[in-house]
Amino acid sequence: MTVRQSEPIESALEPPVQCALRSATLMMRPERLAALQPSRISATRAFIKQLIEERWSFNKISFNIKADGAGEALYQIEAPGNWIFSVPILSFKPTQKGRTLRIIGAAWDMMGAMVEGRISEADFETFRQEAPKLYHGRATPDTLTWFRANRSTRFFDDSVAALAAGSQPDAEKLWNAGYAMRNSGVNGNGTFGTRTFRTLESDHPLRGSLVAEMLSAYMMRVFSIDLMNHLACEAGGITAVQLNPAMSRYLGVGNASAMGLMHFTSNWPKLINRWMLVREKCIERAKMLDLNAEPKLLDRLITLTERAITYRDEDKTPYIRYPSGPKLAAELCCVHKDLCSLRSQLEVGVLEDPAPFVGFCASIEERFHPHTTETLLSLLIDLVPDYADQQVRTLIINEEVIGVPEMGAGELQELIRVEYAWVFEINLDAPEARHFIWYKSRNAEEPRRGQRTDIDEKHELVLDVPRQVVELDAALVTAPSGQSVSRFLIENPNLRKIVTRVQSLNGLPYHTPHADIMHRDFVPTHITKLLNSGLHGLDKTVEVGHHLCGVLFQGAPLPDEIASGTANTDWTNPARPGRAKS
Amino acid sequence: MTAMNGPDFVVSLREVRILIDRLLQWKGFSAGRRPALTESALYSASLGLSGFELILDNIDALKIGIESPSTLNDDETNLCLDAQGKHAWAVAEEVSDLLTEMDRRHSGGWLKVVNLAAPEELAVVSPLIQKHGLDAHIEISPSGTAVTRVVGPSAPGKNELLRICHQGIPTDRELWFELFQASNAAQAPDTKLSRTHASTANLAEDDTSVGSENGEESPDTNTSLLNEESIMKPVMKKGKEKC
Repeated sequence: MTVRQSEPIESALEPPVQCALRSATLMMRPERLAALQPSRISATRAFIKQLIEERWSFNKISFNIKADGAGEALYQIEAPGNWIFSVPILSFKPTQKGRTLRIIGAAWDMMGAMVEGRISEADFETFRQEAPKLYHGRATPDTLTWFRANRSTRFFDDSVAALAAGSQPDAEKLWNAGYAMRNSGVNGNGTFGTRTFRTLESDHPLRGSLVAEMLSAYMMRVFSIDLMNHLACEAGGITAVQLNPAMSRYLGVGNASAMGLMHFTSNWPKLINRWMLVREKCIERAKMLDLNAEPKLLDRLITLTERAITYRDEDKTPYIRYPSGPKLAAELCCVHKDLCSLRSQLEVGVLEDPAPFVGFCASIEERFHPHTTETLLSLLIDLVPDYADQQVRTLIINEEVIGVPEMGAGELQELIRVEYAWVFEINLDAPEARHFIWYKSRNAEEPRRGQRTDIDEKHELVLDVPRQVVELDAALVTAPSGQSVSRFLIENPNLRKIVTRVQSLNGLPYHTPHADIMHRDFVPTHITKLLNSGLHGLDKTVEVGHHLCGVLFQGAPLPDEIASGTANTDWTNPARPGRAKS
Repeated sequence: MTAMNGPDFVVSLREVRILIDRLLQWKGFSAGRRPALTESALYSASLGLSGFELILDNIDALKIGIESPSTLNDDETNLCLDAQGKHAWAVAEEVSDLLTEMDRRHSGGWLKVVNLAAPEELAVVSPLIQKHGLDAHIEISPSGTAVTRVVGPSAPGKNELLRICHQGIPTDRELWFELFQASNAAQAPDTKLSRTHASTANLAEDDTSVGSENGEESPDTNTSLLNEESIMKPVMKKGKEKC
């Protein structure tokens, strides 16, 4: 059969990759997805690269915040092409009432907005009135996001006290916390009346997937550092000092995700596919590098591996399901040794393989933990920076699903037998299958997953792809092979959603995790880890029960470094504070 | 620019889709049918037809005949679809599909739709079929029979979905928030048990707090929040409470 490509995997202008991409059968298993590590194509890293390359400027227009934390601030961001964004911020006196890491929380230490252009006083007033109402509030039409954050109780107050007394904060505390504020939510793309991202102009600097969200999170970081410095001055007067650049740089933005990203995976299959595809293409491109022609690339990879070893070794985060930092560091040391051996062969001229990374990576895959392999592969992407950056620019996705009414029922059935073969290998009738139901609560729309016996099925939200595909297959068995899908759906109207999805995703290899997500043993954290670690680029993604905590932008350049052109482009896997050069 | 009140109140594509889907789910429409109904409702609202008002006042009208599949005659290019008394929104996507198929397989043809409730709402086929790159003409007779045909490729730049993306759908604020409240009620009720389905900061059966030991969540969390019969609304001081 001919499988129609909904979207071409390779554009006509692009030379084909020379060796095969890894299969969806391998890559889309949840355990494997959880192993994907931050890389150059992760949202945080691609975003910081954009800031550095385009030398964005961040200006603090006003900062009127009292010693108790209550007040307002306004930032203005300038990007090339005369793009200006305003970031009004409401700062609140911290309260314990209604405070929680979960989105059902009802109190935050700051709320901000990303607004296009120079915000008027009238629109600032609207933000002032509407944002605190959250789900009952309404953004102005020029607003791209609303976001909110809380201070870290482990670090913020102690650090302000230290700065007020004239000292830098305790490096150990900084190391343990990793951030001064934690993201409590970014909403945009139409939510609360914000602008639909699909309408962003072709030269709009925030047009790429997740870029507006990343800028919002970066502004949480900017504000958190400014607020600490400001409160230290308020408390310490002339004795106070500012947080030094090395420590400031080390501070990222905290984040915790629970069940919500499973809904994201269900609702954004084309983005998941495209990002996975981009990653695999970059890896394969890097594997094909001819080291005899470009020997310095191997030096670069060895340097990157050394930094990753140090970062992992110093990471004492108590991971539960995933390998510890020191374990990964130990395995990466073996990888490093092998790389050095490869370099020796290269130096004495006995490396004849025109693409030695192909065999090298296969050997690593056989011998080490998938998290080690995927760490190496993430580093490998840095060897093809221009190609990777070009691929990232293709991550502008239209998730509209469009069916193919004239397709024959026989062709549709053949399509699902080929592309959804994994579904038919799952025992969907096992007693432990269909154990869970995915839903959202009325409070703050918190995504939840509970036992089917506890929650009315009418609230079920996440698409049960395996069972719907099986149901569709069974109906197609009885349909005449030549019957068109349009006529099939007249007789089977309840199958329209899955038919349209299957047709719309036709030819895309990596859109859906290969799993029964209703199964008792399904681990949602694997999917959360794919998104937070791989796609978003969070470091130190640690499981805490159902939550996956982590940190964004740790080590990333500061605004003045970006604006002045002095930012370090090689900022990932930063050295521990105290060792870093300021 | 401020468009917050009265006639300037505008809702986005994303909001409309989520809200309508939730209300349809609440009313028991199957997951397989809901996207098509939602798109019809969306375009009905954007075209100034019954739209949100129908959803709010008479959503049950969509259920009439919903369990009876439409039937189709055997003619390849002169089709007759019997809607079995269903509302036009429930068959609009079927009509769009059949017209598209006829255009692609036979370069045209006619489709008559009979036994249709609210036939004037079949106008939503015009924007629906634009996703297939086509433009359709819909004519409603006084008897309520609809005659539809493809009149050609959709005109360059004419795309109702994109227009909604750019301009949103103007609506009445009160009406919108009434729908919003109703759609929120369609979500699962929040209970102590339900709160244990999301996070480490949870409650054990004896109402004691259990969960995070990472040193961040516990001191940050007011566990009484989890133990309350209903969870509070945002407590930030700025902003007025009314919707």
